Parts: sequence; structure tokens; C-alpha cells
Amino acid sequence: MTFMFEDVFRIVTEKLPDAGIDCLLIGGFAVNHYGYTRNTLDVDFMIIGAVTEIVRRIMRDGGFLNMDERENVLFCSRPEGGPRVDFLKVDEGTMQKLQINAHEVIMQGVKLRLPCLRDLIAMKIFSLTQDTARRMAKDLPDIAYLSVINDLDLKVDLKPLCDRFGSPKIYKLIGDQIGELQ
Amino acid sequence: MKRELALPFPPRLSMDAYIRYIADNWEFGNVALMQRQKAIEENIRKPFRMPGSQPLSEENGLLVHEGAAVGDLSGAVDSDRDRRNQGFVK
Repeated sequence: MTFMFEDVFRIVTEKLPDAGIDCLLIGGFAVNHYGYTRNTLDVDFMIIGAVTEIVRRIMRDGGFLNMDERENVLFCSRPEGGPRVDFLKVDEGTMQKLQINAHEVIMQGVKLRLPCLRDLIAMKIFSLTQDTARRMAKDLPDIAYLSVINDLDLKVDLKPLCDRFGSPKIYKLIGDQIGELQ
Repeated sequence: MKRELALPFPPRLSMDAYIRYIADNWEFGNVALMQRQKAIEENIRKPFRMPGSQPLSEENGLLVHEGAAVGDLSGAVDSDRDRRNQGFVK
């Protein structure tokens, strides 16, 4: 089954750059890079929304014939099954800011870039704030584990992120969750 | 609501080991159950945006009012949508 992932990473590291498209690895794989291992069903990337049509074509050429596109995400999967590949769309300015501090990781011999830890946590705080009830089971543990594992300080590191991307309620939830881990 | 977290912390995996772990879960795990949980979680309706950047909707020339729903991310077990998507590209 690992060949299915190899194929995904080959497309993303060869075909997308050939078309001039940058993407960032996010989701469970990025979370794992920063030390917290949990299950995931898909491979998530972030792209600039304006290049979505090109990404669709490249993925289709790579055998990902089942697609569903929403305003802020493109879902791709193969008819025969296997992991889904999701492309979250962001504006160009956001991508540029994320790229500035992005980290490089090597997986199966290919180089990928992913957001820095604080940016990744900011995305999760944002998601958690948008739909707290539904995202609680995944994003809250992600934030708490990543914070503890990477020795982030609740007030110094997480409060500014909650102020920008979350709310006092989310800050309280994160604080409580971290408290349960320590 | 009390949330449960696994303690001690799960073992840290290298990225290559993580791929094998996820692949094994695909092959031997309860994928249907995981997909159901994923569908519940995926309901973010606004694109992530860094402060000061131009909203995606404006970049695309679409008019989306602040706070408006911009897409339901219901996931892979949406049976109606799955039926629509089987075997063709929209």
C-alpha cells in the first residue's frame, strides 16, 4: 500500500513544480513531522487557490479521477481506492507568509515543504474556532500534544496565536487540554 | 465534556515509518469507521487566511460576504456525493 503514497509524493514533488506550483504538506503528515503521531486517512496539501485548475489536471493525469471541489478545498481520489489527497486552497498572500518560515522534510527520498510549527498550530486553532464541536476530537489533541512535545509555552506561544486566529474560549480549551497532559 | 488523551505519549515515528504506519492502517484498519469520523470533522467553511492577506474569494473574483459559508467539507462517507463522484471527473 505504501506505493500509493509514493505515487502521491512523486506527483507533488515532480509534476506540480514542473508546472510552477508550490505546495505545502499539512495535516497528519505535518503533525507527525513535529513529533505527534496519529492516524490519518489522507494526504493534505496547501495550494494557492488560483492554481487549482492546473492541480486538477495534473492529478487527473496521475489517475486521481474522482474529484470534488469546494471553494476552499479540492478532494482527489482514485476510483480503485486508497488514500485521498486533499488540496486546501489559500490566497497568495497567506501562502507567501507560510512559505517564509516553511521547513523542509525528506520522505521516501523526496523533499517536501511544510509550515513551521507555529503556523501549523495557527491553522489548527483557526479550524477549531470555525467548528469547535466537530474539530475538537482531532485538532484539540493535535494542538495540545504538539505544544507539550515541542515545549511551547501557553501564554508566550499559544495565546498570541489564539488572539489572532482563535478566541478566548479556544485558548481556555487548549489550556485545559494541555493541563491534562502534564 | 471530559476528553480522553492517550498517555503515555504515542511513539514518535520517522516520516518514512509514518507512511508505513498509515499504509498498514489502510490495509488492515477499519477504514469505514475512520472515514465516518473524518466526515464529522470536516466541516470548515472558511479558508485559512493570514492577517493582512487578500481573501481567497476576492482573488478568485467571487463575491463572498465575510462569515458566509464557502463550502461544506463533508468528507468521504457522504453517500450521495460519493455516488455522484464515482468514476468521472466533474
